Amino acid sequence: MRKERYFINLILILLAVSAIFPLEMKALLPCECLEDRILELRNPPMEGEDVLLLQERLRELGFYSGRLDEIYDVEVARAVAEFQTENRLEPNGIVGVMTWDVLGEGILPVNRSGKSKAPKGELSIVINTYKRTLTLYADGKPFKTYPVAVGKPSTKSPVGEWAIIHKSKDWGGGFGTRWLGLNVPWGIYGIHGTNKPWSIGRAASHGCIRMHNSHVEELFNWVPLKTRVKIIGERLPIKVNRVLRPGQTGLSVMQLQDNLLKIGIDSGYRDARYGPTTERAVQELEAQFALKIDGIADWNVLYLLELPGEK
Amino acid sequence: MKKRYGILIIIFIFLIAGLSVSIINRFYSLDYLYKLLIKKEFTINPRAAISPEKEYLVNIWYYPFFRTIAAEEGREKEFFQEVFIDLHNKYPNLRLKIRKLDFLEGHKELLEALERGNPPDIYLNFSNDSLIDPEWQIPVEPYLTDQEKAGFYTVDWGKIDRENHFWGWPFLVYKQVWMANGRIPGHRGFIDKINHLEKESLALNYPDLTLLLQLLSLKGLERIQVKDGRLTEESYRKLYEVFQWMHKLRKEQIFSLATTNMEDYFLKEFLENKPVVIGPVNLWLERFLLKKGKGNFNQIYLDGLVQVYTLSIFHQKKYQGDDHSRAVMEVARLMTEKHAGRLARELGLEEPYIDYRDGNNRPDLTGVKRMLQITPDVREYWEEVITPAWLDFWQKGLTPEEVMNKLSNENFVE
Repeated sequence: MRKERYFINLILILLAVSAIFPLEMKALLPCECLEDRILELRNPPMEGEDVLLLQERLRELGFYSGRLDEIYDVEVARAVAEFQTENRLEPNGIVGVMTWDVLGEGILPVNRSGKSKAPKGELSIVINTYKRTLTLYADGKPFKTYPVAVGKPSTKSPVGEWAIIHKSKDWGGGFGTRWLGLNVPWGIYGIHGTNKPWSIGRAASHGCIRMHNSHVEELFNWVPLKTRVKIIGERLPIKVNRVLRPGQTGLSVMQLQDNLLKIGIDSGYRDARYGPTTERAVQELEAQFALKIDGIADWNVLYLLELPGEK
Repeated sequence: MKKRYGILIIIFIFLIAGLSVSIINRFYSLDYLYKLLIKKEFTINPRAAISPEKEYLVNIWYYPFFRTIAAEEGREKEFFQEVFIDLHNKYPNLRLKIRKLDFLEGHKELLEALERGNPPDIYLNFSNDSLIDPEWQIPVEPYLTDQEKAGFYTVDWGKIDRENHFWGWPFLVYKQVWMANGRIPGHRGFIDKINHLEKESLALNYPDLTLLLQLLSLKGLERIQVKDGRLTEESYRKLYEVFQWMHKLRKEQIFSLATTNMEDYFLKEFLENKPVVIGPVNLWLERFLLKKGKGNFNQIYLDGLVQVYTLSIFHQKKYQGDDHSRAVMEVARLMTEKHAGRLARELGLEEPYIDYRDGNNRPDLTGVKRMLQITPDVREYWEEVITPAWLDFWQKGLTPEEVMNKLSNENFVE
């Protein structure tokens, strides 16, 4: 009887851990872009954005003339094998790290300004997802602009004002040679290199900002931790139907910050964090409307900012 | 013969004296001379003129009053630009320096500046209290002509004398309102309307102390008075009446929410269409609700009660001279008499000044009554004794007797 109870408890604990652990593991994965998967001929065939990128690149290189349909079929596998033979790789029709890297060779990074001296003064970065560019600013003046790949329409880059909180080297594969992590609260996003340089200038990533490896290496050497990164782009407004409080983070907080700014109250960086500057901005609104001043975005504040959805 | 000469000499002396006074009065006001020569205190000569040879810089502090009302940002700056252009035509040697305050800290910043003796020349005062600090504030009435005085219809000129000055230029007038999103009883007076509300149909934002000022004014109190650390009989009685009134509404379950946290949800209830009356409603909330309601929300006027926003005029510790004060007053005069009208219309308020010389008819001002003001002599008592008692009444559910006992037992030392 006792053994049975222990067994049941053990199962319950395991269930609880398994419920939490996948989430934790996901949060620890670097970049929402995810690592490259290995592409090969399967039944049913593999499908996805990465297959499309492969088809486009093979077509550019003259190995593929089929449809750009995101399906890894026999025709694609044959084109891959031809490419591999041509480039002295094992002609197995399997696209792994080595094949991706060789596919990217010969793509020259576009150096728009040609400057290579380190910038002086306070540095900041503005990423324009419409133009698909990353501009480095020194003391508020544009210093150098790089082409980048940004998030696809289904996995947009996180629009907002962030800071670099992590720097690391040589992850390789889909992340290229350098990684600059951003403090986005709802996922792991960053600026990194790529082994698919032909995707630069397009909306191709899972939300991260991809750069040519040589560019991200240059940027990596210049920008310190805490450098501000502003991502400009489209973000669909969301409705907020819960009271928001200092200390909270997330898209609802971001929307609160957006709507405060819309009426002319600056809540500091639009970083989706309900910090002291957002709290003060809410207090300012409360003071203007003669509400209780507590810095909490309660229902009065939400309604004044037109945040709740229709009931 | 001697007698006749004597009379002629006396008449002559009177004539000379009269003429002298008249000449002196052109350059110095009698009040100024009285304070300067008899009382020997700091005073400003309102007859001082602006020197065309000198440059004057007038500092103005204001709040972003167009925020949430005007679509475009910086409408306030446009307003000051318009004032400046007008000013420049008349006084090319006057310049304006404007500074935007925020609603949260603005008043505190002013009090700190007053503490240092370095306030702005003009402060756009969005509180109802025109007198902030008698030490640094300059009264306005010595600068007004009789005709101008008649134009300021919210001022009871009978009560303005040498000791009781007129502090601040009335700049904008806000007719006090509450709002209803459903049918309201068709009674005449505001108090009757509220007394005839149905159950669960009223929500009050009591942390806004305007509410208490409104209720005291509606009960007829004109001034809160404190003597020897206690409220005078009339002030005590009126305050008690207000608590009794609110308690009666509470007992009859007229409030739509538990009164302990009514203030957190009053807007939610209103906008989610539960038939309810809410108050007080300040000018920004009124504009917001009128826009949101698209004609479905009704204003309930608090009879003729008005709140008057003023331009408070200050001088600094390092006094810049009577001519500078004059220059400041000219800016305030222009803002008030010429530009406040358009601003009032844009903000949905009333203009404070009617120039009868322009052939304007006197509007029907029956019942227009300025809301009770908190004067500096009772401000501390108001903040430290009355305000906590008021909040306790709501949050702790005290009875009127309990609150008044609390007030009576409070040992307030001024």
